Amino acid sequence: MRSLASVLSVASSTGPASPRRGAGGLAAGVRRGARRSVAPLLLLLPALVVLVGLRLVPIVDAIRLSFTNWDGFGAPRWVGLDNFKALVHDQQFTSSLVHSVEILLVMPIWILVPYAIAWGLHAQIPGWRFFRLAFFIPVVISPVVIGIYYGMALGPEGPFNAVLHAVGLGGVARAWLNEPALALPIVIAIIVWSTFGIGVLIFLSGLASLDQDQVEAARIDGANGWQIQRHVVFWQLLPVIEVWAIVMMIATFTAFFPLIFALTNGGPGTATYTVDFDLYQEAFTNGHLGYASSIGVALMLIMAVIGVLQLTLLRGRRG
Amino acid sequence: MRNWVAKGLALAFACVLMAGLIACGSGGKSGGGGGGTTTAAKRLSGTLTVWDLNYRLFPDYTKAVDQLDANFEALHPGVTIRHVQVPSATQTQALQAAFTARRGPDVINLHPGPAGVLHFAKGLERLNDLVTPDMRKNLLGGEMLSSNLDGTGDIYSIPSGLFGFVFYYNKALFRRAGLPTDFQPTTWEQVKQAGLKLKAAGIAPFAGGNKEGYENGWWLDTGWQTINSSEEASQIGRGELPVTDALIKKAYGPEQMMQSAGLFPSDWFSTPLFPDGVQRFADGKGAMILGGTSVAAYYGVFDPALGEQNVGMFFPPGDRYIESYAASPWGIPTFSTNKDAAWAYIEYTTSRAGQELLYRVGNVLPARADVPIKPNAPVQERQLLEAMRTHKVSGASPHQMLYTPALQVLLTDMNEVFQGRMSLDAALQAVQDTNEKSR
Repeated sequence: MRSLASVLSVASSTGPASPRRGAGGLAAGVRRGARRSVAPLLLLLPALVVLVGLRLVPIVDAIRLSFTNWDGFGAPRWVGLDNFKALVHDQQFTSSLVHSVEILLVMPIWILVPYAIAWGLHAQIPGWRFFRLAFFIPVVISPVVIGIYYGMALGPEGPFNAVLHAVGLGGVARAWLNEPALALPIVIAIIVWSTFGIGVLIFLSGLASLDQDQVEAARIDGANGWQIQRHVVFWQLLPVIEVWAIVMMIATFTAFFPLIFALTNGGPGTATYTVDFDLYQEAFTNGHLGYASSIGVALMLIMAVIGVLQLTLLRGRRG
Repeated sequence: MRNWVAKGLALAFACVLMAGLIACGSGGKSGGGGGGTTTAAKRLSGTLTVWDLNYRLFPDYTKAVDQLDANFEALHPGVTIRHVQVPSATQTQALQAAFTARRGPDVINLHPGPAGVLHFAKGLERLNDLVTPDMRKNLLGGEMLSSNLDGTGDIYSIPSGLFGFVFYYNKALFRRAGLPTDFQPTTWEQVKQAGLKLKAAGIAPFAGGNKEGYENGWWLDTGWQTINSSEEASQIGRGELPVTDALIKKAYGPEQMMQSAGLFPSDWFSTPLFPDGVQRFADGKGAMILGGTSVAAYYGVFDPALGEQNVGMFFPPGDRYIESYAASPWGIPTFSTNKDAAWAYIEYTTSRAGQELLYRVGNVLPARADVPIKPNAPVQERQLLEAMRTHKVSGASPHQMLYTPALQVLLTDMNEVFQGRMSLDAALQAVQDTNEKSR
C-alpha cells in the first residue's frame, strides 16, 4: 500500500520543477494524489475494519484487563502490576513456559527435516508425488483427531504396545503418555510429525524459485552437490527459513493447545502443560480472566523477544 | 479512463460498505428487540435455549428429555426449545465463557455445590422467591443447592434428579472365582479379599478408567460414607473443615487400599476416555465397578449387556448413610433473555409429571418423594429405592464441596499420589490452597 505521504512525495518529485506553477501546482498534485488514494483505501477498508475489530481491539482490551482482577462476572478491578508480580512467582506458569521452550528447542529438527525432505522431493526421487501427499496429510487432520488417535494408540492396551509385544519387545511396553519423563518428548514428536508437512511445502516452493544461474555457476566452478547445497542453496533459502522459524515459534506458544488438550489434557499431573494451556485453565477453569490476560500479554512479549533474537541470529549469519 | 474506473470502483465499494453497515445496524436492532423480550417472555414465547451436560451423552436420558421438551412445547405453543449438549468435560469452561460474554443459555444444568452451582452463583438468578410450596414439600437432595449447603440461604438451582455411588459386580465372574453371587460386603477388607480372589482366578477385579481423575472424586464420596458423616461433608463446603484434615485422608483409604492391592486395571491412569472404562464392565472384562445410581455408569447400561439377573449391586461397605445428591440441577443465568419461560421449564421438569417422565423413560432417579417405583423396575433399582426409603439419605457429596478449580486439582493430583509421584499431604495442601483462593 502506498501511503498518502508517499503519493505526495512521488507527485511532488515527479512533477515538472517549474517555479511558475508554485503553490497552485502543489495543490493540484495533492488533489491528484488524494484522488488516486481513494480507491486503494476503500479497497483496504473492509480488511482494516476486520483487523481492527478482531485483532487490535482485543489486544488492547487484553492489555487493559491484564492490570485488573476480573472473574468475568462483575466489573474488572484495577490491580496495577499485581498480576505480573504474581506471574513471576507462579510455579505453574514457570513450568508451563519451560515446557513451551522445550518444544521450541526442536526448531533445528523442524527446519532440517522438512528441508531435507523438500530437497528430496525437489530432486524428484521415485514416488515423489506420493510422498508429497503423504507428508502433507497430517497437516489437514484435525489436531483433536490426532490427539485422540495417539492417546489410544499409545495406551497400555493400544496397538503400539501390541506391536512391541509381537516383536518380542514386550518389556519396553508401557503407558507411554502416563510417564512424566516421556509424555512431553512424545507430545513434541507428535507435534513435529503433524506440522512438518507445511514446512515441506514451504521449502518446496522456495526451492522451485531458486536462482538456477547461481547453481549452474557453482557447478561450472567445480562445486560438488554438498557445496552447492551449503554455499548457494542454503543462503538463497534463508528468507524462507526465517519465515518458517518465526511461524513455528509463534505456533509453539499459541497453536498446539487443541492437540495437547486432546492428547494428554496437560497430564500426567501437569507434565505437558504449555503456556497456552495454562492460560486456558486460568481463564476458563479457574475464572481468573484478568490474570489470564496478563499471561497473554507476557506471552506476546516473550514471543516478540524470541522473534527478534531469531531474526538477529539468522540475519547476522547471512551478513 | 483509469480515473473513471477508479471512481466507479470506489463508488461501488462505498455502496457495498454502506449497505453492509446498514444491514449490521438493523440486524443489531432486531436482535436487541428479540433479546429484550420481557413482554414476550411473560406470554411464554420465543426460543428457550437449554444447555444440558447429559444430553446426547446418555441415550435413555436424551430420549426422555426430547419427550419432556415436546410436552413443554405443547403446553406452551409459543415456546421453541433449543436443547444443546454441553460436553461434561468442558462444561465449566463453556459456562465461564457464556457468563463472561453474558449470552448463551436460558436454562443450564450444573454440578451441585461449590463444584458447580456455587462456583457460578454470581451469575445465577436467586430463586428463593420462585420456589413453590410443592417444590419445598416434595423435592429431595437440595442440600447442596443452597448457599449454606444445608437447605438454607440463597437457592440458585432446583434438583432435576438424584445421583449417588454404588458398586456393581458381575455374578458370572464372581461364580467363576468361587465368590458368592449375593455378595454384600460389610467391610472394605472383604471387597479387597474378593478382588484378590478374582485376580488369582485370572479375572480383572475392577473395571473403569481414571485418566481424567473422575473416579478419585467418586471414591472419595464412597469412602466418606463409610467413615465420616454427611454433616462433616458440608463443613468442607462451608470452609469449616480444611481439605488437609485427617478425615479426608481417611476417606481416601479404600481407594488407596484397592490401588495398593493391584486391583485396578493396568491402564487405570491412562484409559483414553472415561466411558471406555465403564464399557469394559458392560463387556464382561472386569468383575466390579464403582458406578452411579442413575443415568451414567449404572444398571441401565449394564443390565442390557450382561443380563439383569447377572448384575449384582452393593453399597459402600459399612456405610453410615446413603449419598443421594441433586444431580445436574437446573439454574437460570442472570443474562437469560427468556426468564419466565426458563422458570416455567424448570417448574415443569421438576413437577411430578416431569419427574415421572424422566424416571420412566430416562431412568433418572426422581428427585421427588411422590413418584412411585416403576412396576417393572430392574432389581437393582428396586434395591436402591427401597434402601433409600429405609436408611439415612444425605445429599452432601464431599468431592463436590470443593470449588471447581480445587476439584480439578484434587482429581489430577490424586492420580499422582496413587502412582507414588506426590505425597498425599502435598496434594491435599495444593487442593486446600486452591480452594481458599476460589472461595
